[in-house]
Formats: sequence, structure tokens, C-alpha cells
Amino acid sequence: MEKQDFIQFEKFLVGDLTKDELSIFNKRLRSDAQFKQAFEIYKDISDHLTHEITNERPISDFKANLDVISSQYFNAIYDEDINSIASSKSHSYKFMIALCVIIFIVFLVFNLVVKS
Amino acid sequence: MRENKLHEDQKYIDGLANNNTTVIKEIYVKFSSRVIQYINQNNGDAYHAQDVIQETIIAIYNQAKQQKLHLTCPFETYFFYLCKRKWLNRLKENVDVVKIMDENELNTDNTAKVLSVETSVYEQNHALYNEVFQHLDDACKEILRATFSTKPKVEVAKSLKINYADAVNQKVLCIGELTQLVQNAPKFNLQFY
Repeated sequence: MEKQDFIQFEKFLVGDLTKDELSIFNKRLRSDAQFKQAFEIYKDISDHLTHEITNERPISDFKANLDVISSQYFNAIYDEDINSIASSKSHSYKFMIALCVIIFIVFLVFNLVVKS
Repeated sequence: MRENKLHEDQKYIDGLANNNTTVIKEIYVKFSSRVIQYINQNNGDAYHAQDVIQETIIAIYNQAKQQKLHLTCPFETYFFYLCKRKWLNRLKENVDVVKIMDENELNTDNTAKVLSVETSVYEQNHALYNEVFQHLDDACKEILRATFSTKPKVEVAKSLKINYADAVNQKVLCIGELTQLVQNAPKFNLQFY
């Protein structure tokens, strides 16, 4: 694209084209695929820059807020995972202790039976 | 598709655009578990899910803020499809992925599929715009930042030390340069143009 094409894009977007210029512009949009593609990208970039630059503060506020909410939500999940692992470990310990007690009692009973 | 009636779940899109904390929390509580489960079942974990969900919400926010997002399907399907697509794209970068579970029901909701593809393309193109912006020289970056700001024309001209008409002319050429950089970028996605 030529420099003049970009000037035409801008004029079109701000409504600065005369009636004749507008008619030629629209005709070219319909007949020249490359021109149309460049215009669509030019327009999309202009929208993007408008959004990014004029909303710099709201975007950064949104990301900060999202960070907090995401961390709160996922930390609860990670804590839950850790608790369930800890809880299953604690259950294993309890099971082992109970098993030891049973073995000890069986051993005592067995000794008593043998002695008697 | 644009002629379709807005879905009542547009409230989530509007809530995101307005940085509404209650709505964002609701999205996490209502719609995240399905995404976490899917990523867990497909070579990922909760940490991956946290990133994917956060990036997806930012993409929706940006698109919504530009008023380019009109939801015509349930938010849950759209959101899940978007997260899934993002995760699968990330997995594709990894060659050692063996098996991916698919959820067939998603393929039946064509509107959600189309909307989520649009958001993905929007996100990719905007990431590309940010990337090519970094290739501009400092003078162009300064002109674009100044002319796209909400400052009055006099202040813009004063900050750039040129008259406003010249600033606008240079702005046009800088956007033109960005346009050409985008067209020549290998990542450029033609889908939207």
C-alpha cells in the first residue's frame, strides 16, 4: 500500500472523504482485495490502539482484580488438595497405630494362652 | 449469527467489561471446575488451569470492552470451548502429548464454537498488534500514544513539539507501518479479514 492509501483509510474512518472520494473508495473496497484487507487491518489496529491507550488504567485495574480473585479461588483448591493429602496421611498413621495395638494385644493373648 | 437474539448470559460479558467483582467471582465458582477437570484429564494440572482461565477471561474482557462481543449462546459452553481451545493449542506445542480426551457435546453447539473461534482469533491478532508495536521506532510509539490518548489536541501538540495536523499525518504513517508489519508477520491470521 502507498502512503496515500493510508491517508484515505484515515479520512474514511474520521468521515473526512468528500462524496466523490467516498464513492471511489467504496468501489475500490469492492474490487481490490488487497486494498480491502489492508483497510480492515488498519481499522482493527486503530480500534486496538484506541482500546489499549484510552483504557490503560481500567485494563490494569481489571487485571489486578482478576489476579486477586483467581488467587483466592485457586488457593482454596490448593489448600483443599494439601488438606486431603494431609488427611489421608493422618489416616494412614492412625491405621498403622491401630494395627500395632492389635498385633500387641494378639501377642499378649497368645503368650497368656501358651503360659496357661 | 449477529442477527441472533442476545443470550441472557450476556450479563457475564457486560459484568467483565465493567470489572464487576461479583460477576468475576461467579464465573470462577460456576464455570471453572469443568475447565480444571478437563485440563487435569488432559496432561495438565490446576496450575495450568489457573493460567488458561485467567488468560481466557482477559481475552473476553478486551473483546467485551471494545463492544465486539455479543453472546448468543450459554456462557458456560462458550467459556469452556474457549479454555479448551487455548489448552489444546498449548498442548500442540508439546510433541510428547499422547492422548487428548474430547467432549463431543461441544461440537453440537455451533454458535458457541463460532463465537469462541472469533474470540481466539481476536486474542491472537491483538497479541500480534502488541508484538509489532514493539518493532516501531520510539518516535512512532510516542506519536501513537499521544494521538490516541484522551488529551486535548493542544496538549498533544505541545507534548510532541509539533502542530496537531503534522502529528495526525505522522500517526497515519505509523499505523500504516503497523499494518504492513502485521501483513508480513508469519503469525498473521487471515480469518478475520
